[in-house]
Amino acid sequence: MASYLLLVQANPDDITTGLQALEQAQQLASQGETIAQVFFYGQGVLYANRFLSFPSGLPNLQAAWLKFSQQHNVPLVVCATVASQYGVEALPPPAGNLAEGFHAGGLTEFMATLVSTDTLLQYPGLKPTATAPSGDTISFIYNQPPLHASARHGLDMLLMAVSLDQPAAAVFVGEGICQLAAPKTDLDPLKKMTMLPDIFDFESFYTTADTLKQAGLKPEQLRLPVTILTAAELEQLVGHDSKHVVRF
Amino acid sequence: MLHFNGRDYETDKHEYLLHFNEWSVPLAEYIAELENIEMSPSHWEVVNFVREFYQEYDTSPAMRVLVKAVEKRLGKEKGNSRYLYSLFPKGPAKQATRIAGLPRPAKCI
Repeated sequence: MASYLLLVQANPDDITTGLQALEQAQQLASQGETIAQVFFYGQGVLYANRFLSFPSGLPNLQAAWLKFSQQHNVPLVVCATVASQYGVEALPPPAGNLAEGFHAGGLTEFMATLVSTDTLLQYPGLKPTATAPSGDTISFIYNQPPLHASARHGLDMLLMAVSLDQPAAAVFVGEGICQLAAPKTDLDPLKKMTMLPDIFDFESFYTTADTLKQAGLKPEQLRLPVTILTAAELEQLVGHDSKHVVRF
Repeated sequence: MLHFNGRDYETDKHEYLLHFNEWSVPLAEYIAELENIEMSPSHWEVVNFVREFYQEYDTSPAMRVLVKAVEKRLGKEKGNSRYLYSLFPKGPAKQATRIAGLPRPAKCI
């Protein structure tokens, strides 16, 4: 028997992804697998809004999660900080608008569960790789531009992992590498990233030569000390040395 | 909203200053009083430290980050929760950032 953690970042209006997560959870539970937690993060926090409704003809995924949670004793945890950014005050009424069955938590709970869980399933996300990773590192892969919500939420998760002394790696691919370049505007939501090397002596930032080439960037233009990996090294890190891979 | 010396200061709903630049030493002492804290040089060291931290990293340090950052910059004997709680009994991150005029640290981090 294996244990699973589901990370839901799709917004509730994305019925396809929502159903995919729910059906996967139901299937795993029916096979006797353990689901340690369903964590709602990013736009997924909207699932915890008690005023949420679903159009007729489509399943009420909020009610379905609640039922699933009760049937299989699986905690539904919503990140309180991100929730407030999406208008969900994570307190039961009348003080807030947290839906029944959801527990207001944070990245601490998520990370504590993640390290003791066999498999992370991310929605939306890719299917987990078939190879059984053997390492203890949690790899975070970033491929969104700097101001993207996912980039910010992904960085917060990295900060949490590092502050909990969890072995971690941050891999920047595609447009994600621009997160490490000097900002083009006054807005710099990722300025706090520099505390990782400064305060936590964390320097496991990676990219590939191709990524830099496509972005037209040179290593010296990046704000953080980045190690350039070959495709094979990247595969080794993500496919073998990582306990979990989280994509943002 | 905070009222101090005949002036109103905008705050969030938890009474953290909305405008970092409106902060002043007397205002900090007033907020400390609201928190039942009498500012000593040790308190000031931490409050000034979190202000610098905020200017450098654009983020209000939550507890774990605060402990680590204080350890790194001010030394091990200060970078631990026992020392910080002795100065700010109701939560070092929460109280020091409020006195320093910073936004409230994220709950979840």
